[in-house]
Amino acid sequence: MKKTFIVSIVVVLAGIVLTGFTGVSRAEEQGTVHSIQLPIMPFDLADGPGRNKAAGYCAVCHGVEYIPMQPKLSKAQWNATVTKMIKAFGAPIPQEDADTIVSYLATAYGTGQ
Amino acid sequence: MNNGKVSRRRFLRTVGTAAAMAALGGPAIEALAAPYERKLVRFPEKGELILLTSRPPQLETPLPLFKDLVTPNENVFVRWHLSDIPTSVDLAAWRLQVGGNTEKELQLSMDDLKKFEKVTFTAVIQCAGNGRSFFAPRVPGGQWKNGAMANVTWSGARLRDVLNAAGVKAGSVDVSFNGLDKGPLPTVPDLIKSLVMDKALEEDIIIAYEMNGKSLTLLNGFPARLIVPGWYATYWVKSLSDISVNTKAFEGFWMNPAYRIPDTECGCIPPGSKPGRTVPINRMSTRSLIIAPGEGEKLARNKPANIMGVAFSGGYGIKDVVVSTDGGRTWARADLGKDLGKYSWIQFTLPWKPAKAGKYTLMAKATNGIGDSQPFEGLWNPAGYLWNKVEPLSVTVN
Repeated sequence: MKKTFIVSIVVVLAGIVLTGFTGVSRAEEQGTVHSIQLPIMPFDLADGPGRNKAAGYCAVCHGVEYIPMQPKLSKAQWNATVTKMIKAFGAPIPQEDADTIVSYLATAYGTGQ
Repeated sequence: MNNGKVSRRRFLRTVGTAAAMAALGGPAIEALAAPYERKLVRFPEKGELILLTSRPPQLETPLPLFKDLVTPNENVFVRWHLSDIPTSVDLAAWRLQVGGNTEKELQLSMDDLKKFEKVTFTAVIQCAGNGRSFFAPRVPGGQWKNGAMANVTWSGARLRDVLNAAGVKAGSVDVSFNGLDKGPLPTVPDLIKSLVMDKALEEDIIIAYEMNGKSLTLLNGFPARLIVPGWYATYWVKSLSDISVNTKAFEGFWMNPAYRIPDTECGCIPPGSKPGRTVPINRMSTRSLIIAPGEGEKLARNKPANIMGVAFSGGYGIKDVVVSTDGGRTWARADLGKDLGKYSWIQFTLPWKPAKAGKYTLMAKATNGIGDSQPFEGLWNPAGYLWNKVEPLSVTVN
């Protein structure tokens, strides 16, 4: 049972790894139904304390590629961004974790100030 | 062969580790993933576009693809705000609800929508944040270069005809528009946009069910989207599902505080400063872009190297485009191509045969039908909207 579970995860992951970048990208029309299948595109985040918290919380709502796409922002700008996610979008991030995430972002993707 | 074996083993080990990590939580999958770069990707019903983000999808059109007067559907940029986007729509079930302060509620099927008079015109669709990555100082948000725009021939029913069929009652102040996309959490504000009543009743606003004579692609808003020609695409709500006529001004997150510009003549403020009063973003600024030659291209002396590009405005057409080959010291009037109307972009061409070798800085500057033009310095606002600077482009002649 456990083995089957691991095997299927490996199969799924292999699928993601192998096809993720070219993308399983399909569109089809069946009767009155028009459908597409979006590709899964995982991204890497820089190492550093708080990385997994940032990746975990941010990925609840959006791809983590939103982070490295940004220009180097100041700590105040990253704080404003994380605060917007919590206040405007209701991201369920406890204050302590929000502080960790802001520090991570300011260090790994910021001006360091 | 041996190499292949090793890499396969390493691959399996990596996947195995990732599987173990994935079992403990999602983020670990990212450890296997690539770093961020602007690379070409293929999404459903799309050609090769530049990836900004994948969830929700934001895809930018490479500049060379703007050589077409009308942008093919597969080359039209993609911009969604919320990650729960419609990936499957059943036209047998889809209905466009029209209601609020109206005589009656409508539930229009696609067939019903197609019974209204069909209107067709070509209009530039452009993201409010197109060019945001050029702002100085830089601002957060989608880091578009100049490819969040397209010129498309849209067909659909007039919004005004649909509203009249529902019967707008006295005391209505604005109309709000919602689509099938949703936030991933219930706390995420739904993307709802509004137009004041007078604007909503303008003749040229349509509910489009065709782009370039075909059904909309799902990523561009199948089965129907709002077209507000001349205005930035934030109002062009995709996969439209609800239209509501309101007696009180609609005030949602995406109208305020999002998508606002400083309430100044230029929509700009001194770089790095904070705006006072703001207003909802609206009409597009006048723009022009040189498409060919491309940045950094090497050209041959005494050979024709026509300078070609596109120019458009916020619904006032283009009066003229001037082009410089010497960094803005002297200018020549470019030839304008076929005119597809005031909402379309127009192609411009300046025949050029550089006689001397060296580096050249090319520039184009458009003026719209009411005399508005483009600045030589980037105008700044904190959200990174309205970018329309005259862009210098460098080429080398050998």
